[in-house]
Amino acid sequence: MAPTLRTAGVLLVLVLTALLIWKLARRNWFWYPLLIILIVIATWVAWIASQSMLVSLLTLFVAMAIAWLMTRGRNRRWRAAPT
Amino acid sequence: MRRTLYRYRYLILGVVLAAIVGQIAFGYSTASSQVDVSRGGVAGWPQYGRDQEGTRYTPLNQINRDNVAYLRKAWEYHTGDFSDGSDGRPETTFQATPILVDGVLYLATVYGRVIALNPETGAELWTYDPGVDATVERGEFANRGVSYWRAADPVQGRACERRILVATVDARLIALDAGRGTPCPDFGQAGQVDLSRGVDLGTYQADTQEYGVTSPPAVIGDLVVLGSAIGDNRAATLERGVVRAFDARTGALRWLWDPIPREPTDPAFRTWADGSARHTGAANVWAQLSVDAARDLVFVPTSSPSPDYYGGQRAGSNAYADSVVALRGSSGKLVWHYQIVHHNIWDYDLPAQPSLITVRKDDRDIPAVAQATKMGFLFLLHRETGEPIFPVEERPVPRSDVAGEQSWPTQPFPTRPRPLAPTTLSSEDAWGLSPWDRGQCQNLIKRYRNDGIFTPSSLAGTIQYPGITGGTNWGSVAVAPRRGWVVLNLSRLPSVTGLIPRARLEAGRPDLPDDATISQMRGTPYGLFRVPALLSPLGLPCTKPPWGTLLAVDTASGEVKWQVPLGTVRDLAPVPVPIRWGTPNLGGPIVTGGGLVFIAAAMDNYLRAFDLETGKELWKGRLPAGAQATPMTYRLGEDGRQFVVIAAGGHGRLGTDIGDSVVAFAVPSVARTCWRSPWPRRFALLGCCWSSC
Repeated sequence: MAPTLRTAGVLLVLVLTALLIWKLARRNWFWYPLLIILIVIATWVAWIASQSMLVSLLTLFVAMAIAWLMTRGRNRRWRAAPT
Repeated sequence: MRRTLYRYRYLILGVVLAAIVGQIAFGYSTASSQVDVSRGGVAGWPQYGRDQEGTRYTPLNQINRDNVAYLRKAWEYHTGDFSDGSDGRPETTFQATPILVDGVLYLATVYGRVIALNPETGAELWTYDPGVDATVERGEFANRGVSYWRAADPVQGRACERRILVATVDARLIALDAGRGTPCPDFGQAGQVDLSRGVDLGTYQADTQEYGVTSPPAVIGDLVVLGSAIGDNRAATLERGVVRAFDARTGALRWLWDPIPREPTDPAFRTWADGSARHTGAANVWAQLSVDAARDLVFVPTSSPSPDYYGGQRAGSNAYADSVVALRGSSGKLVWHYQIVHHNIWDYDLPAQPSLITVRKDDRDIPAVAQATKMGFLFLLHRETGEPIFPVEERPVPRSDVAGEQSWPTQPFPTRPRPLAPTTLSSEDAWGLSPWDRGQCQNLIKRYRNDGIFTPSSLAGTIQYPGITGGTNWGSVAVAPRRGWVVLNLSRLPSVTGLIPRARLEAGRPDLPDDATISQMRGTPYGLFRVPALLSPLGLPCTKPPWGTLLAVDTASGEVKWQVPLGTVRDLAPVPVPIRWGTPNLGGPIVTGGGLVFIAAAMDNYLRAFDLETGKELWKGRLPAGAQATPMTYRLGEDGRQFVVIAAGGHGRLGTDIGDSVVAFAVPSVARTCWRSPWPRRFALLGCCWSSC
């Protein structure tokens, strides 16, 4: 049972990631895919090093928060820039 | 997209510029490499293990920590003897270590073909082909090298006063004239001795597909001493694993020693219940032997009796199998023996050459033998008595749950150094690239019997950790005599082994993993299945990296001085990412007076140099194939360069790239032609140094 749940969980994460990429990437084909790739890499490195779901999820959330802050700062700067 | 690229134009430009500047800087630092060819002494590599003692240590120091980064390929030779299996022949493995003696480099290919090369240029001088049938599948198709014998009082101009001795995988010992490569007619029958004779037990005929020799013989005085390689899970009764000494001139048998005591008068006979010593075969010596000429001793590492995974018909501790044994060189008489595995049912043969070292303990120099094992244990024994130098504890180990088996209740564990490889594996230790394959590995670990090292094979399957290949294997150890250290490489890979009731086996292939191999173990109630590596569905080991390490042990204290991963997954992964996770490895290290450890062995195609002091990787040289072999080094003259040579031919069963190369590396010498060249130095180095300097 546990392996089935784990497999379903991993598949769910992959599907959600793909949807997120599709949703966000259309806004900016460089910035959002870059962020998503970096988030995935950070999460994966955390998994490789710790072999712990908890640590990996924490890393995922922290990476997403940093990405959100960076995107906010970037958008604000661009809006403030003279046209 | 175009707008985005424009926005990041300075970043992109910066990265490109940095790459160009880095390349130029690296190129010029390469060009500035120089080596003072007048320093470093002169030394050859006259034996497989550098010397009779098997130290794999050379005092040469022309290549050292300061200049090893500039090592470059000096020459490459192709033997032509290889197969990747596509031509119907078995996949090859090139395990040879060349020897350098009297200014000539000698080596043997996987097919036992002997080749003499110019050691400065790699030019072929002569070859000799013994005609080994390359189409036959053999238990172990390998040849680790040749040996050298010279007459004590050579007659000038007479042939065969210097001989190259090669033993073949089809059980022949051949003597060749070292100068011309022709068989010595006064040796055996037209230059060769048939080793398959005189080894049967009356009920089992010697099978040269499964009985042969894979390691070069030892030479002590005028005697050539050698053991044999036997496919030891075919049956309960197999060929005798005798160690034999032949006259180096005539090929006549001088003495013979059987690792299984056949006579009741032998005190060890009682360690074989019900007279089982009379019908059990093997316990052979397939690894390299060592010689202490001053003490007239030959050290032989014996292996498992037949069959190697079920001992129900050979109950008892089974002396002298799986032991370090000291024999009198001149007579073959037993001097002492020390058993390292009692009643072996794990194929934990003694795979490594016993290295003769000096251990400094309590302000005394003790002549010792260092024996590395597949279990990842390192035993240090007194060379004259066989007594352990540090305490060895007999610890209880798991008992067999298979009907008929009487596993031995305890096994020896050295207290110093402590086991060098992990000896237990729990499902929590499982490792994966993702939660999914880690979960699969956890399930695999839970599926099998798994009570730690020395858990006997069971009907459900047993996790064997360290696995079938070790621990340490035939790569043995290298000695750093001034520090009193030994350097060795280990694999950390679990295997799965299990027994199949005979009736089930005969009913057809049982339900087993796809990568399981089956052995018959005829004459016993069981067959054997083995899965060489416990892998996840993604093909990676189920254990946490590193999967292979290199380490140095201080023999005075038994402490591990350093341990580093050996190898990257570059040549294993679909994408060539050089992550240093270490890999399972076969082959061994050498140590030089320049403070370096050279080793290949890992599953990526590199020869590496490590700092002996710290274990830091200082250099690696790309090879055309895997190098499951031990390197060697030499320097011919006072004005010559030091070369490091490795056989790079891969290992079919291990899965590394197959090839047929012998590659020599050296540091470029200071070359006048280069300095005069109108080209910048870096181009001059590429353009002329290797061809004309």
